[in-house]
Amino acid sequence: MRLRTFSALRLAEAMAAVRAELGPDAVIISTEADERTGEARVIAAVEEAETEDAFLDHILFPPRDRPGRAHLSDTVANALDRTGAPARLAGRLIALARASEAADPALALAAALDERFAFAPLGVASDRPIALIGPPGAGKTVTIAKLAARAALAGRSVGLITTDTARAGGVEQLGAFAQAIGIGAAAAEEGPALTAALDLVRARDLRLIDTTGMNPLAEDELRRLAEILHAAGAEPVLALPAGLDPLDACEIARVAAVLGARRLIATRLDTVRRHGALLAAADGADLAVAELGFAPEILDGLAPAAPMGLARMVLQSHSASEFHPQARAADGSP
Amino acid sequence: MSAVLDTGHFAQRLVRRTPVLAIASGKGGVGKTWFSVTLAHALARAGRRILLFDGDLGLANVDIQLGLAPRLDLAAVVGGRSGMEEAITPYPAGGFDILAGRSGSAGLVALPPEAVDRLARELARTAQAYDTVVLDLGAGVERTAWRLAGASTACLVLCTDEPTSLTDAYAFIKLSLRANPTRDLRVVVNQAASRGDGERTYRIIAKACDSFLKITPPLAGIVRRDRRVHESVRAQSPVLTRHPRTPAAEDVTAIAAEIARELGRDGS
Ligand SMILES: Nc1nc2c(ncn2[C@@H]2O[C@H](COP(=O)(O)OP(=O)(O)O)[C@@H](O)[C@H]2O)c(=O)[nH]1
Ligand SMILES: Nc1ncnc2c1ncn2[C@@H]1O[C@H](COP(=O)(O)OP(=O)(O)O)[C@@H](O)[C@H]1O
Ligand SMILES: [Mg+2]
Ligand SMILES: [Mg+2]
Repeated sequence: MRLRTFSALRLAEAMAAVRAELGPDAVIISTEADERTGEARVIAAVEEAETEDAFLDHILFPPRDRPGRAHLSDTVANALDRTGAPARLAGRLIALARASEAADPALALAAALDERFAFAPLGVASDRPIALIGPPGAGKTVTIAKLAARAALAGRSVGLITTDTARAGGVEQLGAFAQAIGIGAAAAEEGPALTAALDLVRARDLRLIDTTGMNPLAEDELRRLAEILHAAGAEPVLALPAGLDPLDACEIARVAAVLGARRLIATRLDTVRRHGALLAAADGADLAVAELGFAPEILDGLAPAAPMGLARMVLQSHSASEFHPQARAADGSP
Repeated sequence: MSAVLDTGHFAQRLVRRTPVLAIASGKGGVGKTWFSVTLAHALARAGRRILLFDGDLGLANVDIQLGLAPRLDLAAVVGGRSGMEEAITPYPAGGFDILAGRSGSAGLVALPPEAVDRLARELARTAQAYDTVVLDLGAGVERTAWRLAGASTACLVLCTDEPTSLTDAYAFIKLSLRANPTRDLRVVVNQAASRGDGERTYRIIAKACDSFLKITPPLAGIVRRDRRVHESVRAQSPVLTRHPRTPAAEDVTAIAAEIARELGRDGS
């Protein structure tokens, strides 16, 4: 359970903050008015099943050989060092893992990641259109296809639009994916065409916008992207490919944040062993981790981000040749 | 399912199992050890034969809070160097007995499950010489504490008004109920600024349990924040000896009286 207190001048504002931060499943625990200031104070809570279930599994069905405490923090520290994450961040996570008092490395690291990072999966529906932004080749188009396929499989209606009309094949690539999933896709250069295209798919549960690769150092390109996002009223979400230098990743993430991004999708996680760039970027730009992309396949290559999955990835990727957070989470092996 | 439970109740009556009150919190530093010592003391003053069992295997400190230097402790029992009865230290000033834990012994925290189960069985046997056992549990998510709690009759879950304490106490309640849906769990709010504040804190945890678990653990009592607690912990002497009428002492005494009444009524 996550428990939070929200204060605002008016009750409605506090309630809106509850929904915005804790989502639609939040339960209002109490509401009161501050005697002195008259401020509304709302205490709200949400259940977070995954971590607690993991705790329960661990306690009731413990692994036979439980490592001692010293060993536990060594395991976490070694794994974090190997990610190439900035030393200060790694040190902070190690301290949090130790403080968690969790009894196995994956749980301890998950607790630390949960404390330090926010996790906010995209789900299969959204009021605002979602625009994927990121460097060329990040996996934006493929990730859009994955998100669309997931929503379609969940019985949701999906609208696809690409603004990547300049690059050769940009439109065709998305069109091919859309056809494979059995939905339509539209191309729109910018401004009015985009608004019109969005209007056509207004009623869809999930509207996804593909964009041209962004160069974080080219101001004019960024300005054009900002205009597109504004015209669409879209939530920009950063697609961040694995394997970048952590500082470069951090810079890209900060640019994305300036463009309005609040979360990122980590892509191509299966192609590298070290994930320091992802940690550095999410931390440095204060972006929530939304999804983890770990295979090029459209149907099975994306998992909603959660502390446990990320912890296992950090702990295992140095030795494992293949990584599949869903499978590992399901069989529960540490 | 219900048949199994019924048999359990019946068997319990036959062997007259001594009630074991586990004191849990999920989070350290809320006052579990102080509360356990004071509850044991108050129950002893009410005329019951009490064993205080320090089950906080990572950071045991019953003996430290009372300024004792026991010759034998739980580590000796686990290591096979002593039987459990032998390792019990009387505490005449309080009128109750103590089985000390072991401070800073990582070996105890990492006990294999079979060893913890053996410990729980031995505890149940040793307990027969007493009217009630008070069990000070460690951090609630430790497997050892968890298994020991499973062997208890009722569990008092301590929390304060801090959000981390509330969420940890909630997690403890949730997991306890998942392991045993009929477990007797009650909430104690410690370090409350006032009774009203304590009630507000209880309502938060009660509402959370009601919303997510569809069950409302009853309130066992509210213990007010009291600087004499800290003072007596520092002086290594029980608050009920030094300041029996101070608010926190009165609050725990009231909780003990209620528990003693209930246990007496059950005829154990
Ligand atoms: N191995 C792997 N490859 C991926 C993943 N996501 C995308 N790719 C590949 O990365 C390349 C670039 O993807 P694309 O979607 O065209 O990137 P865009 O330029 O950002 O739209 C393609 O060859 C994809 O198949 C992933 O999670 N794992
Ligand atoms: N009701 C109270 N009022 C004031 N201080 C308290 C109260 N209960 C506990 N404390 C303080 O909290 C500290 C931690 O208590 P302790 O019993 O060691 O916690 P735990 O066993 O839960 O880790 C004690 O040193 C004591 O001074
Ligand atoms: Mg593309
Ligand atoms: Mg203690």
